[in-house]
Amino acid sequence: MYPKEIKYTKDHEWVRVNEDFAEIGITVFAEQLLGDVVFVDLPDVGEDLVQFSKFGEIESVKAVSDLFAPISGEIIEKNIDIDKFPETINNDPFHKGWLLRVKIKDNSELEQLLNLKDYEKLIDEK
Amino acid sequence: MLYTSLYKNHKNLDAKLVEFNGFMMPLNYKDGIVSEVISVRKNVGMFDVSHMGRIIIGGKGSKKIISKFLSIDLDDFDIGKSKYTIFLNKECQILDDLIISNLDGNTFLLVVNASNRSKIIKTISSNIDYGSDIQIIDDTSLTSMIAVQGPKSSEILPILKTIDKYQIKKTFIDKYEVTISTTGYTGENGCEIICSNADAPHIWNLLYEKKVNPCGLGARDVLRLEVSLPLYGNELNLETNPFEVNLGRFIDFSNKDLLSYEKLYSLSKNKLRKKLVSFKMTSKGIPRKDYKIYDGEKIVGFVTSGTFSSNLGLGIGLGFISGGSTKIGRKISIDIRGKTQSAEIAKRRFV
Repeated sequence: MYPKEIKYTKDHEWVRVNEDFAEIGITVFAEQLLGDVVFVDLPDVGEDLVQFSKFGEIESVKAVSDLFAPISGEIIEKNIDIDKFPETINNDPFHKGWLLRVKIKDNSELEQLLNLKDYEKLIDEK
Repeated sequence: MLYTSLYKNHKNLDAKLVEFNGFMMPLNYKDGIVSEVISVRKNVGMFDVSHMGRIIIGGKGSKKIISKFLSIDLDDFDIGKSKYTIFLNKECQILDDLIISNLDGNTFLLVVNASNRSKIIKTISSNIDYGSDIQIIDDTSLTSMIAVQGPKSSEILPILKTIDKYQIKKTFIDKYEVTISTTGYTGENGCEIICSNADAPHIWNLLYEKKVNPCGLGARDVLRLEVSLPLYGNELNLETNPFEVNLGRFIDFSNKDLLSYEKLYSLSKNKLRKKLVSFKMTSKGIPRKDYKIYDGEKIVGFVTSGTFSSNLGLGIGLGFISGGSTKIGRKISIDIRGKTQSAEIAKRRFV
């Protein structure tokens, strides 16, 4: 269920590094905990993310929760589809439900993140 | 922790379970709150509401004791009828909102909020004279209760076609003896079924086989807010009088036995300190309990309940306003975690 090629945070965000940019989203665990996502508040293109700092909010019918950046970088694209169809985050959190695309500032920050094995261990404990 | 007799059914359906007033209850099932809400508005859903208190008051003098606390006229309340009402103590504080049913003219069933059950029993008991014949039975753990709600309820339970709203009746579902009352908390037609704990899992499964969609507390909260039904603890509490929460229409001043009669009467003549309003967001964001309400630059109140209405695709809520306009259509704004989002006061029914 969890893709191997991506890195995870303890707060249940993920980052997938492509050639030109990195994609950021939330994990299945987070999506299931929240339930039906109805609203996501994200910063605009051009703004900077700082690793492990709050960058937005995600709201489901029953709760609101902060989003924390898995990596630092400049936002180059927002997923505008989730504005209209926030349920995409529940349906496909690792692909179509991505939130932001960023230009990574410092690749070494990736070492601060969890690999699949460690992330699975973390959610097993919950 | 308490478990209802349907706990295993919920487990089998992969429900997300949460603690609610000491009971382990389903928050939602695997398809989520939004689809559960839709199933009740368009089709038919069912809820385990066994956690709600069921108190039976019977014996000679039962009418008299009930009249001390409920603002209804029991002389104008026929056998087989159910009624929504509020329970007032002698200080005229709202101890609960509840449904009372007249079972046989001398025996009454009170369905109360789980959080208020023991308080209600204590208050009634302490007002019974020594040596009286009145009996109070806490039926909550002895029975189970399933709410079936939605426009297609009567296709599933054809007996509902023959019963008007707000009635109570003994009947059978399949081979199981049940009491059904045509009441609910969703704004839809339907009923609440009271049955034995042993039969409850079978009745639940029977309804499930008939494609009645299981729904949890999450959907129940959205559904009640889409029709602005108050919730004790959010809109109703000891500091709020019935007129402030638009419940004046449920008060019957012909009941002179009410202990708080004088106070209630003078409250009805006084200016309201605050007023409960329904509102909808006209911008993004979801209002939540305790968020501040603004009229222009001025804080005029606070949110008591809020959620996202999937039927409207908007945030909706209830809140108290004092010292501001409460006219329908009035533009207000809600402070959603530091961001001011526009909203407007709306009619009670959103669907």
